[in-house]
Amino acid sequence: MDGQFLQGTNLSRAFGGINAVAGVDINIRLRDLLCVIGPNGAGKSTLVGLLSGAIAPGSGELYLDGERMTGRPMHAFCRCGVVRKFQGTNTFLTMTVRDNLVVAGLGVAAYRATPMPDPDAVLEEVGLSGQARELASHLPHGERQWLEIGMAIMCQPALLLLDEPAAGLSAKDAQRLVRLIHRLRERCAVLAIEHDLGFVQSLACETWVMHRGEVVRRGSYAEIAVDEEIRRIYLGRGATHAAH
Amino acid sequence: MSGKHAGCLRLWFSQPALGARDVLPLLMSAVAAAAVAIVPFFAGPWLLSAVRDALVMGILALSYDLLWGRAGVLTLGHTTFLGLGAYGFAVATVQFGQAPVTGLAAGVLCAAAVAAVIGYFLLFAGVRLHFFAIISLAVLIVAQQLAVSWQSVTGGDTGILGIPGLSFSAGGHALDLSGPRASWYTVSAVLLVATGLMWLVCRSRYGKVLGAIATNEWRAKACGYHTSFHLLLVFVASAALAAVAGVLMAACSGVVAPDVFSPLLATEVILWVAIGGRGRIGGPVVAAVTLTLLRQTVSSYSTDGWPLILGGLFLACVLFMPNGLRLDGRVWAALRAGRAIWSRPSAHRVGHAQEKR
Repeated sequence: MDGQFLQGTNLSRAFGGINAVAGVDINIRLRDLLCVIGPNGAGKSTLVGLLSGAIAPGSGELYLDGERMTGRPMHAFCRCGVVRKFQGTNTFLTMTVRDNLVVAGLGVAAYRATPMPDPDAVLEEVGLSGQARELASHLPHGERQWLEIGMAIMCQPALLLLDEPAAGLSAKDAQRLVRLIHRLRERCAVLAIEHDLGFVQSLACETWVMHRGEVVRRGSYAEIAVDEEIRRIYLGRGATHAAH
Repeated sequence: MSGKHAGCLRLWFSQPALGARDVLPLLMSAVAAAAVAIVPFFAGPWLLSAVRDALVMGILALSYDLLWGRAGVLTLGHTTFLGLGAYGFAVATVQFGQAPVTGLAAGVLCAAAVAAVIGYFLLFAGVRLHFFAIISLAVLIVAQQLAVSWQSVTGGDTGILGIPGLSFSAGGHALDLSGPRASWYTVSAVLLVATGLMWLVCRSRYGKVLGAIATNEWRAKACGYHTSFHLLLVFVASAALAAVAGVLMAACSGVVAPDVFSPLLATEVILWVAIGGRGRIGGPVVAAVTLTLLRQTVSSYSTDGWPLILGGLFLACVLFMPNGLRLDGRVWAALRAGRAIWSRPSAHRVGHAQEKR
């Protein structure tokens, strides 16, 4: 293996006749960092759903570490290292912050029969040490985002899928997240879906643009940002101020 | 390989250190154990057998709390497994003349096997919530029909009479558990041990995982849990414990009739757990014992009154106490309120002192 972790060929998925994702080829190597941007309804979240096993592809094939994963259940994807942070937040609301992390880490650790990451260290990493005993339902939205990211780290990811990680974060927190993502990259590959172009710019990584279920551009953020076609797709015709 | 499994078990079931939270359950279980040991010396035989039958229902409530309270699986037909346990024991001992130990094994295995088959096909197919509840009710009615119509084995409407009490014999020694006192101690020991085991499982990490699956199964799947498998495991364990209650019921009373499969009793089980508080150790058991004794009292005055009271209680529970009675929570709240009243005058004085200064 030349560090190739995930291989998807011709991935497609239609919902009621609309092609949410249409023929996407994707290869992710260990320690890649990739951002996917695109207007609403471009198929970004469906792509994450396909890669994380939450949605079975209508056609196309998906391999993880050389093993065929097409149509396997979601928990199998997680055990193989594809861990997802949901759009919005999705935590165990009735449990404490620390218990959320423990439960998140236990499943994979028990399956692989390895010790799980230290929940307190992860709490420190995402800045929730002070709220360890709070119920998850008592956290404000921004902190739940951090909890979600902490839960994803507890699953010992090889590929971390972040669905709109900066939504609801302050500018300062978004920068903190950028630094965390760069740190995480030393351990695993990261694929982020984002609306906030400022956030994507500060990640300064390879960026894909999706439009109507297809990947229409692949390149560095700097190239994408000056592409007139992309501006037209992303901001709509007649937009006067391009993002940055 | 075995080392790996042992490590896995330790990961799942390692116990956290004892803390302030554990004082109340431990204290309560000590009190319960002491009470159970003393009661036979004071209570008459009638009262003893009435409370013993209520304790059997406590075991049933405990098994349902494991399923609904801990894992969030609502069923309307939990008494299917109580009945299967009772009939399994009765058929094996009376119809086939087997020893009570074989009857016990037959009852529990029968219920566990039925639960495993039904649970596999429903849970692994993603059947959840009210769909699962309705199908479980259908299974209960099928079981009831079978018990009524398969006369050669189940004895039809009359059921099976003359079921022997529990007794064990091994290596020339015989242990007879069929007398009033012996059966009392057997039932209460099973109840206490089962409660203790469930307490241990639920305060370990595995309990947290079950709680997580109950709150947000989708998220648990995304954390790498094969949630259907865990739910099936709990379903089978719960059915086996309900079957143990069924065996004890048949062995203590000596009869089993198709009314063990009645939907009314299945509803009562839900009510016990709802009133006692879902997922609260001891609560459902206390509610089950109290309400069963209440039912016995009410039924001696009027046979129609009980379903009416039951319906009223259910309504009141849903409207006013969606989380159950939570006696311990109320005690803490009362203590806190008491402390607040106690400390108010002194706060007042401090205020005055500051003003003077």
